[in-house]
Amino acid sequence: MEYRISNSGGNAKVVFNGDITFSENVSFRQLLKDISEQNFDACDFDLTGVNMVDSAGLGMFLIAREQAETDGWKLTVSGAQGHVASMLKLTKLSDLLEG
Amino acid sequence: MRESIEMENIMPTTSDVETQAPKVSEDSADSRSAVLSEALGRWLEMNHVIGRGFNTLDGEVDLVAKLVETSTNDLNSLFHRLVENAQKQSEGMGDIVRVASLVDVGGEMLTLPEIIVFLEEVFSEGIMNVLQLSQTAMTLVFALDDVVVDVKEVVKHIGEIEQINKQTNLLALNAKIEATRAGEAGKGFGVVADEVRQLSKDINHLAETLRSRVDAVHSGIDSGHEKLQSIASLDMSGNLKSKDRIENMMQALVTQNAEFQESLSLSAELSEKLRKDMSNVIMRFQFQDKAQQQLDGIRMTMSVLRDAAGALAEETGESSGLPPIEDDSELMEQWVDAVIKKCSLGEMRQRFVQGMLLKAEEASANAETVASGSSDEDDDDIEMFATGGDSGDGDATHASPSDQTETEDDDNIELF
Repeated sequence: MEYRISNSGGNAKVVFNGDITFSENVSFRQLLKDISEQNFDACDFDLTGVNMVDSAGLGMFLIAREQAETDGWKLTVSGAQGHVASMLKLTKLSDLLEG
Repeated sequence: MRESIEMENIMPTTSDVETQAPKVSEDSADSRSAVLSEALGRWLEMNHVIGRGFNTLDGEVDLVAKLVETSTNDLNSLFHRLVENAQKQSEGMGDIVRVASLVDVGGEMLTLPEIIVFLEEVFSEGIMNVLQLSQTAMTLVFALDDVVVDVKEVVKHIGEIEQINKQTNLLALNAKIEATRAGEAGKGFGVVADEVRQLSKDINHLAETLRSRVDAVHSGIDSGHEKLQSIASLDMSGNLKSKDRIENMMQALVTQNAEFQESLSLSAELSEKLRKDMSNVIMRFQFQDKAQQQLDGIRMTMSVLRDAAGALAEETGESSGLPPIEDDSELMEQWVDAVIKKCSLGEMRQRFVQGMLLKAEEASANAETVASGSSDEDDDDIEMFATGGDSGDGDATHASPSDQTETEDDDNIELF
């Protein structure tokens, strides 16, 4: 998994590429640290480039959501397609996170 | 047209009568009187035949009335049963519709959509539990990562302790050498140096123990990390497919159930409609009352005509002085045959044969037998006719038909 953070007026956009699975937990945690350090008002996870997400990846999304609530910024996801969109719908995360 | 031709062939025509009548001389009063007497005699014979015909027809009307009444009552009973069965069928359909839409789950009646919602909730709850577990596992993984950092820090500090201890040991060794070199004066210092070296050895041993323990912790963390990975890393594609399949199956069940209920509802409506139609049919059976009234009217009309003709025949017989009709003439038998030939229904023809070829009294008795329960009024009518046609004795004479007459009647029947 690779990610790129862009800042637009206090709102961050994280563009992911690749799969989001357990093995990406270190990178994902680093991402959360980066976001927290930059004090964004909101952050959108752009999942257009993500082909696969497992339960660990979905769990990390929930951790990110918890951290957002703790730190006071809003987390949204967008661009999910195919398998990823189905998984978000199955777990009802689309209701929680899709803006 | 064909029927009229047959009638002409069967019925004796005026010309036939005229041919059979004796030739009347235009200027002979006696001949004219003979012709008139002959004509009156035939009128009386015709009246006799018509009287028997009316009697037989009276019995036929009675039969028809009873047939209509009996059949109507039978049909009425049948349709009442049909209405009852249609009502039960309609109620049964309603029960099926109600039962088909509900499922008894331990005494709790649930609709199919409710069951589907319940199953979907259970499935979603399971998915959410898996997701919650993954989140918890990943939180633990993050925490363990932090522990690993701390453990590495501890290992680093142990290394520093070992380094310090190593230098301490060297210092103690140097101190021992210097103490030895100082001789007696350095003897006490040498004891201290030995103690320091022992301390250094103990510290070194402790550091090794710590390193060993920390390595064990690190190993445990790695092991836990792997376990958490197996817990958190679940490919939920199978669940996704299962959920889709369950949803499709449930939707198919709902659709099928809806179609089933629609068909049953339609059947119930048709049963109810059938019941109403049959109730209307039962109401229409009231035609029997009207038919009975019309048949009574026919019988009354026939009775009036028969009485009028009988009275006229009686008057004619008295005024003309003609002898009473004692036997069936050939002409009378031709008239009777003509009537019987027109009866296409065998059963009815038989009654006409019995009623018109036998004497009036026997015909009356036959009519009573056939139309079981003929009223006294019928008997009265027959007696009136008999009196009107001629004297009762005359009929009594006719009551014993000659063998010849019987034979002729039988021939006629066979012909027909």
